[in-house]
Amino acid sequence: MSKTILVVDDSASIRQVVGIALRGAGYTVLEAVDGRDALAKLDGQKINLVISDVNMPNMDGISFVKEMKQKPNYKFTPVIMLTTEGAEEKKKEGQAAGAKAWVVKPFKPEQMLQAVSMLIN
Amino acid sequence: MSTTDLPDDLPPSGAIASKILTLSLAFVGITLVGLLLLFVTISSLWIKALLGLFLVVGLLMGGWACWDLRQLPQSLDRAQTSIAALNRLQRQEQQVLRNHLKLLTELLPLWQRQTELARTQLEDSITDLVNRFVEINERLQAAVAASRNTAGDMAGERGLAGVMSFADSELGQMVDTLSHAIEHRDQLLKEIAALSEITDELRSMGAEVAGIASQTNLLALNAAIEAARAGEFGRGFAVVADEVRTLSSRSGETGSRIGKRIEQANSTLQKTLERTGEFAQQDDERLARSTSAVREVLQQFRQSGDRILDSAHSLEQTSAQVQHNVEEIIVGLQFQDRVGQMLSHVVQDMQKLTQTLDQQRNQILQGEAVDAIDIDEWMRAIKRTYTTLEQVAVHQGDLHKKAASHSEITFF
Repeated sequence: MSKTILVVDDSASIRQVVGIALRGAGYTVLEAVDGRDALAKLDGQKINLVISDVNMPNMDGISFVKEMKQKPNYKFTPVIMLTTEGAEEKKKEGQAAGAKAWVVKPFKPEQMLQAVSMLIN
Repeated sequence: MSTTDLPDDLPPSGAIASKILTLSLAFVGITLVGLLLLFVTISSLWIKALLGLFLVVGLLMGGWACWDLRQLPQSLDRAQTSIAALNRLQRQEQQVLRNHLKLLTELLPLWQRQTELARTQLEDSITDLVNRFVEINERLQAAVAASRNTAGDMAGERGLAGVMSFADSELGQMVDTLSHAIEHRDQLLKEIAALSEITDELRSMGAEVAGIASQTNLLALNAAIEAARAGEFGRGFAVVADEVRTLSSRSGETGSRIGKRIEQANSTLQKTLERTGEFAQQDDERLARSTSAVREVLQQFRQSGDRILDSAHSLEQTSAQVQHNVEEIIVGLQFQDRVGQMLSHVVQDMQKLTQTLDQQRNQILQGEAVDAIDIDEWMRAIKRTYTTLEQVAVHQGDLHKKAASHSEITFF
Protein backbone atom coordinates (compact mmCIF):
# COMPACT_ATOMS: atom_id res chain seq x y z
CA MET A 1 0.00 0.00 0.00
CA SER A 2 1.45 3.35 -1.03
CA LYS A 3 2.23 6.00 1.55
CA THR A 4 0.13 9.13 1.74
CA ILE A 5 1.52 12.66 1.60
CA LEU A 6 -0.45 15.84 2.32
CA VAL A 7 0.58 18.84 0.19
CA VAL A 8 -0.46 22.21 1.62
CA ASP A 9 -0.07 25.26 -0.63
CA ASP A 10 -2.33 28.13 -1.67
CA SER A 11 -0.83 28.02 -5.17
CA ALA A 12 -2.61 25.47 -7.34
CA SER A 13 0.34 25.27 -9.73
CA ILE A 14 2.74 24.37 -6.92
CA ARG A 15 0.33 21.70 -5.66
CA GLN A 16 0.24 20.32 -9.20
CA VAL A 17 4.02 20.31 -9.59
CA VAL A 18 4.56 18.60 -6.22
CA GLY A 19 1.73 16.19 -7.00
CA ILE A 20 3.27 15.12 -10.32
CA ALA A 21 6.60 14.37 -8.71
CA LEU A 22 5.09 12.42 -5.81
CA ARG A 23 2.49 10.49 -7.80
CA GLY A 24 5.18 9.61 -10.32
CA ALA A 25 7.16 8.05 -7.47
CA GLY A 26 4.16 6.01 -6.35
CA TYR A 27 2.90 8.05 -3.42
CA THR A 28 -0.75 8.88 -2.77
CA VAL A 29 -1.20 12.65 -2.64
CA LEU A 30 -3.79 14.70 -0.77
CA GLU A 31 -4.03 18.47 -1.28
CA ALA A 32 -5.02 21.38 0.96
CA VAL A 33 -5.18 25.09 0.08
CA ASP A 34 -4.12 26.48 3.48
CA GLY A 35 -3.38 25.52 7.07
CA ARG A 36 -7.01 25.40 8.13
CA ASP A 37 -7.97 23.19 5.20
CA ALA A 38 -4.99 20.97 6.00
CA LEU A 39 -6.03 20.53 9.63
CA ALA A 40 -9.47 19.45 8.44
CA LYS A 41 -7.89 16.93 6.05
CA LEU A 42 -5.80 15.36 8.84
CA ASP A 43 -8.84 13.97 10.60
CA GLY A 44 -9.79 10.47 9.55
CA GLN A 45 -6.72 10.03 7.39
CA LYS A 46 -3.49 8.16 7.76
CA ILE A 47 -0.90 10.65 6.52
CA ASN A 48 2.74 9.64 6.47
CA LEU A 49 4.34 12.97 5.59
CA VAL A 50 3.33 16.62 5.15
CA ILE A 51 4.75 19.16 2.69
CA SER A 52 3.61 22.66 3.57
CA ASP A 53 4.05 26.20 2.25
CA VAL A 54 4.74 28.93 4.83
CA ASN A 55 2.91 32.04 3.60
CA MET A 56 -0.73 31.18 3.11
CA PRO A 57 -4.06 32.92 3.79
CA ASN A 58 -6.31 31.91 6.73
CA MET A 59 -3.60 29.92 8.50
CA ASP A 60 0.10 30.05 7.67
CA GLY A 61 2.33 27.01 7.48
CA ILE A 62 4.18 27.51 10.78
CA SER A 63 0.90 27.82 12.74
CA PHE A 64 -0.47 24.77 10.95
CA VAL A 65 2.56 22.65 11.84
CA LYS A 66 2.32 23.75 15.48
CA GLU A 67 -1.36 22.78 15.58
CA MET A 68 -0.69 19.52 13.81
CA LYS A 69 2.01 18.54 16.28
CA GLN A 70 -0.55 18.94 19.09
CA LYS A 71 -2.52 16.03 17.66
CA PRO A 72 -1.35 12.70 19.15
CA ASN A 73 -1.62 10.88 15.80
CA TYR A 74 0.59 13.40 14.04
CA LYS A 75 3.11 14.20 16.75
CA PHE A 76 5.89 12.34 14.95
CA THR A 77 4.75 12.85 11.35
CA PRO A 78 7.65 14.40 9.40
CA VAL A 79 7.07 17.82 7.86
CA ILE A 80 8.88 19.49 4.95
CA MET A 81 8.41 23.24 4.62
CA LEU A 82 8.31 24.27 0.93
CA THR A 83 8.54 28.03 0.61
CA THR A 84 10.08 31.03 -1.10
CA GLU A 85 11.34 32.16 2.31
CA GLY A 86 15.08 31.80 2.56
CA ALA A 87 15.73 33.83 5.73
CA GLU A 88 17.43 32.02 8.61
CA GLU A 89 14.97 33.42 11.18
CA LYS A 90 12.08 31.83 9.33
CA LYS A 91 13.92 28.53 9.11
CA LYS A 92 14.45 28.60 12.84
CA GLU A 93 10.74 29.24 13.31
CA GLY A 94 9.98 26.24 11.15
CA GLN A 95 12.43 24.07 13.06
CA ALA A 96 10.95 25.18 16.37
CA ALA A 97 7.46 24.35 15.10
CA GLY A 98 8.59 20.79 14.35
CA ALA A 99 9.58 20.78 10.67
CA LYS A 100 12.28 18.32 9.60
CA ALA A 101 13.39 19.99 6.38
CA TRP A 102 13.22 23.38 4.68
CA VAL A 103 13.05 23.51 0.88
CA VAL A 104 13.32 26.86 -0.88
CA LYS A 105 11.35 27.21 -4.13
CA PRO A 106 11.93 26.66 -6.95
CA PHE A 107 12.60 23.04 -6.16
CA LYS A 108 13.79 20.19 -8.34
CA PRO A 109 11.46 17.18 -8.14
CA GLU A 110 14.29 14.68 -7.76
CA GLN A 111 15.71 16.57 -4.76
CA MET A 112 12.25 16.80 -3.23
CA LEU A 113 11.74 13.07 -3.74
CA GLN A 114 15.10 12.40 -2.13
CA ALA A 115 14.12 14.43 0.92
CA VAL A 116 10.71 12.74 1.06
CA SER A 117 12.24 9.29 0.77
CA MET A 118 14.76 10.08 3.49
CA LEU A 119 12.10 11.33 5.93
CA ILE A 120 9.22 8.98 5.18
CA ASN A 121 11.34 5.88 5.70
CA MET B 1 0.81 69.17 9.24
CA SER B 2 -0.45 72.79 9.56
CA THR B 3 -0.30 75.76 7.23
CA THR B 4 -0.52 79.57 7.88
CA ASP B 5 -1.19 81.99 5.05
CA LEU B 6 0.49 85.40 5.12
CA PRO B 7 -2.08 88.29 5.27
CA ASP B 8 -2.86 89.85 1.92
CA ASP B 9 -4.66 93.00 3.30
CA LEU B 10 -1.58 94.97 4.36
CA PRO B 11 -1.97 98.86 4.65
CA PRO B 12 -0.60 100.88 1.72
CA SER B 13 3.13 101.37 1.84
CA GLY B 14 2.85 105.25 1.63
CA ALA B 15 0.79 105.39 4.81
CA ILE B 16 3.25 103.17 6.62
CA ALA B 17 6.15 105.33 5.44
CA SER B 18 4.41 108.55 6.57
CA LYS B 19 3.67 107.01 9.94
CA ILE B 20 7.27 105.86 10.40
CA LEU B 21 8.56 109.28 9.21
CA THR B 22 6.27 111.13 11.60
CA LEU B 23 7.21 108.91 14.51
CA SER B 24 10.92 109.20 13.67
CA LEU B 25 10.77 113.01 13.37
CA ALA B 26 8.86 113.23 16.61
CA PHE B 27 11.45 111.06 18.31
CA VAL B 28 14.37 113.08 16.87
CA GLY B 29 12.65 116.38 17.72
CA ILE B 30 11.97 115.35 21.34
CA THR B 31 15.57 114.14 21.67
CA LEU B 32 16.93 117.38 20.23
CA VAL B 33 14.72 119.46 22.49
CA GLY B 34 15.96 117.44 25.46
CA LEU B 35 19.55 117.92 24.45
CA LEU B 36 18.95 121.66 23.88
CA LEU B 37 17.48 122.02 27.38
CA LEU B 38 20.46 120.20 28.82
CA PHE B 39 22.76 122.43 26.76
CA VAL B 40 21.11 125.54 28.23
CA THR B 41 20.99 124.29 31.82
CA ILE B 42 24.45 122.73 32.12
CA SER B 43 27.31 125.13 32.71
CA SER B 44 30.26 122.88 31.97
CA LEU B 45 31.87 123.82 28.67
CA TRP B 46 33.10 120.32 28.02
CA ILE B 47 29.67 118.86 28.51
CA LYS B 48 28.16 121.66 26.41
CA ALA B 49 30.66 120.93 23.66
CA LEU B 50 29.83 117.25 23.91
CA LEU B 51 26.08 117.94 23.85
CA GLY B 52 26.57 120.30 20.91
CA LEU B 53 28.40 117.54 19.09
CA PHE B 54 25.56 115.15 19.88
CA LEU B 55 23.07 117.77 18.64
CA VAL B 56 24.95 118.21 15.37
CA VAL B 57 25.35 114.46 14.93
CA GLY B 58 21.67 113.96 15.84
CA LEU B 59 20.58 116.56 13.32
CA LEU B 60 22.75 114.96 10.66
CA MET B 61 21.46 111.47 11.44
CA GLY B 62 17.88 112.73 11.52
CA GLY B 63 18.40 114.33 8.13
CA TRP B 64 20.00 111.15 6.77
CA ALA B 65 17.18 109.05 8.22
CA CYS B 66 14.58 111.32 6.65
CA TRP B 67 16.41 111.05 3.36
CA ASP B 68 16.58 107.24 3.71
CA LEU B 69 12.95 106.91 4.74
CA ARG B 70 11.94 108.38 1.42
CA GLN B 71 12.83 105.02 -0.15
CA LEU B 72 10.81 103.05 2.41
CA PRO B 73 7.56 102.92 0.37
CA GLN B 74 9.32 101.25 -2.56
CA SER B 75 10.90 98.68 -0.20
CA LEU B 76 7.54 98.03 1.39
CA ASP B 77 5.97 97.64 -2.02
CA ARG B 78 8.58 95.09 -2.98
CA ALA B 79 8.10 93.23 0.31
CA GLN B 80 4.37 93.22 -0.20
CA THR B 81 4.78 91.87 -3.73
CA SER B 82 7.03 89.09 -2.43
CA ILE B 83 4.57 88.21 0.28
CA ALA B 84 1.74 88.03 -2.23
CA ALA B 85 3.86 85.79 -4.47
CA LEU B 86 4.68 83.58 -1.52
CA ASN B 87 1.03 83.37 -0.66
CA ARG B 88 0.15 82.40 -4.21
CA LEU B 89 2.87 79.77 -4.19
CA GLN B 90 1.68 78.38 -0.91
CA ARG B 91 -1.90 78.24 -2.14
CA GLN B 92 -0.68 76.48 -5.29
CA GLU B 93 1.28 74.02 -3.24
CA GLN B 94 -1.73 73.33 -1.06
CA GLN B 95 -3.86 72.92 -4.14
CA VAL B 96 -1.32 70.57 -5.72
CA LEU B 97 -0.99 68.68 -2.45
CA ARG B 98 -4.75 68.29 -2.14
CA ASN B 99 -4.87 67.25 -5.80
CA HIS B 100 -2.14 64.69 -5.27
CA LEU B 101 -3.82 63.42 -2.16
CA LYS B 102 -7.11 63.06 -3.97
CA LEU B 103 -5.39 61.43 -6.93
CA LEU B 104 -3.54 59.00 -4.72
CA THR B 105 -6.68 58.23 -2.74
CA GLU B 106 -8.48 57.32 -5.93
CA LEU B 107 -5.53 55.87 -7.83
CA LEU B 108 -4.07 53.60 -5.17
CA PRO B 109 -7.17 51.40 -4.77
CA LEU B 110 -7.35 51.26 -8.55
CA TRP B 111 -3.71 50.16 -8.82
CA GLN B 112 -4.36 47.74 -6.03
CA ARG B 113 -7.30 46.18 -7.85
CA GLN B 114 -5.44 46.09 -11.16
CA THR B 115 -2.38 44.50 -9.58
CA GLU B 116 -4.59 41.98 -7.81
CA LEU B 117 -6.31 41.28 -11.12
CA ALA B 118 -2.94 40.74 -12.81
CA ARG B 119 -1.85 38.45 -9.98
CA THR B 120 -5.06 36.43 -10.15
CA GLN B 121 -4.93 36.17 -13.93
CA LEU B 122 -1.29 35.15 -13.80
CA GLU B 123 -2.05 32.47 -11.24
CA ASP B 124 -5.07 31.18 -13.21
CA SER B 125 -3.15 31.14 -16.48
CA ILE B 126 -0.11 29.44 -15.00
CA THR B 127 -2.29 26.90 -13.21
CA ASP B 128 -4.06 26.23 -16.51
CA LEU B 129 -0.70 25.91 -18.25
CA VAL B 130 0.56 23.52 -15.58
CA ASN B 131 -2.59 21.43 -15.99
CA ARG B 132 -2.09 21.28 -19.74
CA PHE B 133 1.56 20.36 -19.35
CA VAL B 134 0.58 17.72 -16.82
CA GLU B 135 -1.83 16.26 -19.38
CA ILE B 136 0.90 16.33 -22.04
CA ASN B 137 3.28 14.72 -19.60
CA GLU B 138 0.81 11.95 -18.77
CA ARG B 139 0.13 11.29 -22.46
CA LEU B 140 3.84 11.21 -23.16
CA GLN B 141 4.36 8.78 -20.30
CA ALA B 142 1.67 6.56 -21.77
CA ALA B 143 3.17 6.93 -25.27
CA VAL B 144 6.67 6.12 -24.02
CA ALA B 145 5.36 3.10 -22.11
CA ALA B 146 3.40 1.89 -25.14
CA SER B 147 6.37 2.45 -27.42
CA ARG B 148 8.63 0.61 -24.98
CA ASN B 149 6.20 -2.29 -24.78
CA THR B 150 5.84 -2.39 -28.55
CA ALA B 151 9.58 -2.28 -29.04
CA GLY B 152 9.92 -4.96 -26.39
CA ASP B 153 7.30 -7.08 -28.12
CA MET B 154 9.00 -6.57 -31.44
CA ALA B 155 12.35 -7.51 -30.04
CA GLY B 156 11.08 -10.45 -27.97
CA GLU B 157 10.32 -14.02 -28.95
CA ARG B 158 6.75 -13.11 -29.78
CA GLY B 159 7.75 -9.82 -31.37
CA LEU B 160 8.49 -8.99 -34.92
CA ALA B 161 11.97 -10.46 -34.70
CA GLY B 162 10.49 -13.68 -33.32
CA VAL B 163 7.92 -13.78 -36.11
CA MET B 164 10.67 -13.23 -38.65
CA SER B 165 12.78 -15.96 -37.14
CA PHE B 166 9.78 -18.32 -37.06
CA ALA B 167 8.88 -17.52 -40.68
CA ASP B 168 12.50 -17.97 -41.69
CA SER B 169 12.64 -21.34 -39.98
CA GLU B 170 9.26 -22.58 -41.25
CA LEU B 171 9.75 -21.41 -44.81
CA GLY B 172 13.26 -22.83 -44.79
CA GLN B 173 11.89 -26.16 -43.66
CA MET B 174 9.24 -25.96 -46.39
CA VAL B 175 11.90 -25.29 -49.02
CA ASP B 176 13.94 -28.17 -47.64
CA THR B 177 10.88 -30.43 -47.79
CA LEU B 178 10.31 -29.43 -51.41
CA SER B 179 13.98 -30.06 -52.16
CA HIS B 180 13.73 -33.48 -50.58
CA ALA B 181 10.55 -34.20 -52.56
CA ILE B 182 12.37 -33.28 -55.74
CA GLU B 183 15.30 -35.48 -54.78
CA HIS B 184 12.86 -38.34 -54.23
CA ARG B 185 11.28 -37.61 -57.58
CA ASP B 186 14.69 -37.66 -59.27
CA GLN B 187 15.42 -40.96 -57.61
CA LEU B 188 12.08 -42.29 -58.80
CA LEU B 189 12.89 -41.11 -62.30
CA LYS B 190 16.20 -42.90 -62.16
CA GLU B 191 14.40 -46.06 -61.13
CA ILE B 192 11.92 -45.62 -63.98
CA ALA B 193 14.86 -45.10 -66.32
CA ALA B 194 16.28 -48.34 -64.93
CA LEU B 195 12.93 -49.95 -65.73
CA SER B 196 13.42 -48.82 -69.33
CA GLU B 197 16.63 -50.82 -69.38
CA ILE B 198 14.71 -53.86 -68.14
CA THR B 199 12.24 -53.47 -71.05
CA ASP B 200 15.22 -53.72 -73.40
CA GLU B 201 16.13 -57.01 -71.82
CA LEU B 202 12.51 -58.08 -72.04
CA ARG B 203 12.47 -57.12 -75.73
CA SER B 204 15.51 -59.28 -76.40
CA MET B 205 14.00 -62.04 -74.30
CA GLY B 206 10.82 -61.77 -76.46
CA ALA B 207 12.94 -61.99 -79.60
CA GLU B 208 14.77 -64.95 -78.10
CA VAL B 209 11.42 -66.61 -77.35
CA ALA B 210 10.36 -66.00 -80.97
CA GLY B 211 13.66 -67.48 -82.13
CA ILE B 212 13.24 -70.55 -79.89
CA ALA B 213 9.69 -70.92 -81.23
CA SER B 214 10.97 -70.74 -84.80
CA GLN B 215 13.64 -73.33 -84.08
CA THR B 216 11.11 -75.48 -82.25
CA ASN B 217 8.78 -75.17 -85.24
CA LEU B 218 11.60 -76.21 -87.51
CA LEU B 219 12.45 -79.06 -85.18
CA ALA B 220 8.78 -80.15 -85.11
CA LEU B 221 8.70 -80.05 -88.88
CA ASN B 222 11.75 -82.31 -89.01
CA ALA B 223 10.11 -84.57 -86.46
CA ALA B 224 6.92 -84.75 -88.59
CA ILE B 225 9.03 -85.66 -91.59
CA GLU B 226 10.80 -88.36 -89.63
CA ALA B 227 7.43 -89.56 -88.29
CA ALA B 228 6.00 -89.79 -91.82
CA ARG B 229 9.05 -91.76 -92.84
CA ALA B 230 8.47 -94.14 -89.95
CA GLY B 231 4.97 -94.87 -91.29
CA GLU B 232 2.44 -96.43 -89.01
CA PHE B 233 4.90 -96.49 -86.17
CA GLY B 234 5.53 -92.80 -86.41
CA ARG B 235 1.87 -91.82 -86.58
CA GLY B 236 1.60 -91.02 -82.90
CA PHE B 237 4.93 -89.18 -82.98
CA ALA B 238 3.62 -87.21 -86.01
CA VAL B 239 0.66 -86.02 -83.91
CA VAL B 240 3.04 -84.91 -81.17
CA ALA B 241 5.26 -83.19 -83.69
CA ASP B 242 2.27 -81.43 -85.10
CA GLU B 243 1.18 -80.27 -81.67
CA VAL B 244 4.73 -79.13 -80.93
CA ARG B 245 4.72 -77.19 -84.18
CA THR B 246 1.37 -75.65 -83.25
CA LEU B 247 2.71 -74.74 -79.83
CA SER B 248 5.88 -73.31 -81.28
CA SER B 249 3.82 -71.21 -83.70
CA ARG B 250 1.73 -69.93 -80.82
CA SER B 251 4.91 -69.37 -78.76
CA GLY B 252 6.38 -67.45 -81.65
CA GLU B 253 3.24 -65.36 -81.95
CA THR B 254 3.16 -64.83 -78.22
CA GLY B 255 6.84 -63.85 -78.21
CA SER B 256 6.14 -61.48 -81.05
CA ARG B 257 3.18 -59.96 -79.17
CA ILE B 258 5.29 -59.69 -76.05
CA GLY B 259 7.93 -57.91 -78.04
CA LYS B 260 5.36 -55.50 -79.47
CA ARG B 261 3.81 -54.88 -76.06
CA ILE B 262 7.20 -54.32 -74.57
CA GLU B 263 7.93 -51.94 -77.39
CA GLN B 264 4.71 -50.10 -76.72
CA ALA B 265 5.38 -50.06 -72.99
CA ASN B 266 8.91 -48.87 -73.59
CA SER B 267 7.66 -46.15 -75.92
CA THR B 268 5.12 -44.97 -73.35
CA LEU B 269 7.75 -45.14 -70.63
CA GLN B 270 10.16 -43.09 -72.73
CA LYS B 271 7.49 -40.49 -73.42
CA THR B 272 6.62 -40.41 -69.71
CA LEU B 273 10.28 -40.07 -68.83
CA GLU B 274 10.68 -37.23 -71.31
CA ARG B 275 7.59 -35.43 -69.97
CA THR B 276 8.59 -36.08 -66.40
CA GLY B 277 12.07 -34.79 -67.15
CA GLU B 278 10.53 -31.60 -68.56
CA PHE B 279 8.31 -31.28 -65.47
CA ALA B 280 11.27 -31.96 -63.20
CA GLN B 281 13.24 -29.19 -64.87
CA GLN B 282 10.30 -26.83 -64.48
CA ASP B 283 9.92 -27.95 -60.86
CA ASP B 284 13.61 -27.28 -60.27
CA GLU B 285 13.27 -23.81 -61.76
CA ARG B 286 10.11 -23.16 -59.72
CA LEU B 287 11.79 -24.37 -56.56
CA ALA B 288 14.82 -22.18 -57.24
CA ARG B 289 12.56 -19.18 -57.89
CA SER B 290 10.44 -19.92 -54.80
CA THR B 291 13.52 -20.29 -52.62
CA SER B 292 14.90 -17.03 -53.92
CA ALA B 293 11.51 -15.28 -53.48
CA VAL B 294 11.15 -16.61 -49.93
CA ARG B 295 14.64 -15.43 -49.05
CA GLU B 296 14.00 -12.03 -50.61
CA VAL B 297 10.66 -11.61 -48.84
CA LEU B 298 12.20 -12.65 -45.54
CA GLN B 299 15.08 -10.25 -46.10
CA GLN B 300 12.65 -7.40 -46.83
CA PHE B 301 10.58 -8.33 -43.79
CA ARG B 302 13.72 -8.38 -41.70
CA GLN B 303 14.81 -4.97 -42.99
CA SER B 304 11.32 -3.54 -42.44
CA GLY B 305 11.27 -5.02 -38.96
CA ASP B 306 14.66 -3.49 -38.19
CA ARG B 307 13.45 -0.12 -39.45
CA ILE B 308 10.29 -0.38 -37.34
CA LEU B 309 12.37 -1.30 -34.30
CA ASP B 310 14.78 1.57 -34.95
CA SER B 311 11.85 3.94 -35.44
CA ALA B 312 10.16 2.71 -32.25
CA HIS B 313 13.41 3.10 -30.35
CA SER B 314 13.96 6.58 -31.76
CA LEU B 315 10.34 7.53 -30.95
CA GLU B 316 10.78 6.24 -27.43
CA GLN B 317 13.97 8.26 -26.94
CA THR B 318 12.44 11.43 -28.41
CA SER B 319 9.30 11.02 -26.32
CA ALA B 320 11.39 10.53 -23.21
CA GLN B 321 13.37 13.68 -24.04
CA VAL B 322 10.19 15.69 -24.65
CA GLN B 323 8.76 14.34 -21.41
CA HIS B 324 11.88 15.46 -19.58
CA ASN B 325 11.58 18.93 -21.16
CA VAL B 326 7.91 19.16 -20.20
CA GLU B 327 8.79 18.25 -16.62
CA GLU B 328 11.42 21.01 -16.64
CA ILE B 329 8.83 23.47 -17.96
CA ILE B 330 6.43 22.48 -15.20
CA VAL B 331 9.17 23.03 -12.64
CA GLY B 332 10.01 26.36 -14.30
CA LEU B 333 6.43 27.50 -13.91
CA GLN B 334 7.00 27.69 -10.17
CA PHE B 335 8.03 31.29 -10.82
CA GLN B 336 4.32 32.13 -10.63
CA ASP B 337 4.32 31.46 -6.91
CA ARG B 338 7.22 33.85 -6.34
CA VAL B 339 5.74 36.53 -8.59
CA GLY B 340 2.34 36.08 -6.94
CA GLN B 341 3.84 36.64 -3.51
CA MET B 342 5.74 39.73 -4.68
CA LEU B 343 2.57 41.21 -6.15
CA SER B 344 0.69 40.37 -2.95
CA HIS B 345 3.22 42.36 -0.96
CA VAL B 346 2.84 45.33 -3.32
CA VAL B 347 -0.97 45.11 -3.05
CA GLN B 348 -0.79 44.95 0.75
CA ASP B 349 1.46 47.99 0.85
CA MET B 350 -0.83 49.91 -1.48
CA GLN B 351 -3.71 49.07 0.84
CA LYS B 352 -1.73 50.30 3.81
CA LEU B 353 -0.86 53.56 2.02
CA THR B 354 -4.49 54.08 1.00
CA GLN B 355 -5.62 53.68 4.60
CA THR B 356 -2.94 56.07 5.83
CA LEU B 357 -3.87 58.72 3.26
CA ASP B 358 -7.57 58.37 4.10
CA GLN B 359 -6.78 58.80 7.76
CA GLN B 360 -4.68 61.91 7.13
CA ARG B 361 -7.30 63.47 4.89
CA ASN B 362 -9.95 62.95 7.55
CA GLN B 363 -7.65 64.52 10.12
CA ILE B 364 -7.11 67.52 7.83
CA LEU B 365 -10.83 67.87 7.22
CA GLN B 366 -11.50 67.76 10.94
CA GLY B 367 -8.76 70.33 11.63
CA GLU B 368 -6.70 67.89 13.66
CA ALA B 369 -2.92 67.85 13.71
CA VAL B 370 -1.49 65.42 11.16
CA ASP B 371 1.60 63.44 12.02
CA ALA B 372 4.19 63.01 9.32
CA ILE B 373 4.64 59.49 8.00
CA ASP B 374 7.72 57.79 9.40
CA ILE B 375 9.23 56.87 6.05
CA ASP B 376 12.14 54.90 7.53
CA GLU B 377 9.77 52.79 9.59
CA TRP B 378 7.56 52.32 6.53
CA MET B 379 10.54 51.05 4.55
CA ARG B 380 11.57 48.72 7.35
CA ALA B 381 8.01 47.37 7.52
CA ILE B 382 8.03 46.66 3.75
CA LYS B 383 11.35 44.90 4.08
CA ARG B 384 9.97 42.65 6.80
CA THR B 385 7.28 41.38 4.42
CA TYR B 386 9.75 40.14 1.80
CA THR B 387 10.06 36.41 1.42
CA THR B 388 12.65 36.15 -1.33
CA LEU B 389 16.26 37.22 -1.39
CA GLU B 390 15.84 39.02 -4.71
CA GLN B 391 13.11 41.20 -3.17
CA VAL B 392 15.55 42.27 -0.48
CA ALA B 393 18.22 42.89 -3.12
CA VAL B 394 15.88 45.05 -5.20
CA HIS B 395 14.89 46.95 -2.07
CA GLN B 396 18.56 47.70 -1.50
CA GLY B 397 18.97 48.91 -5.09
CA ASP B 398 20.39 45.77 -6.69
CA LEU B 399 18.16 45.44 -9.75
CA HIS B 400 20.09 42.56 -11.26
CA LYS B 401 19.63 39.99 -8.54
CA LYS B 402 18.06 36.87 -10.01
CA ALA B 403 15.98 34.16 -8.39
CA ALA B 404 17.83 30.99 -7.46
CA SER B 405 17.47 28.40 -10.20
CA HIS B 406 17.89 25.34 -8.02
CA SER B 407 16.50 23.92 -4.83
CA GLU B 408 18.02 24.73 -1.51
CA ILE B 409 17.28 22.08 1.10
CA THR B 410 18.08 22.33 4.79
CA PHE B 411 17.53 19.36 7.07
CA PHE B 412 16.97 19.99 10.76
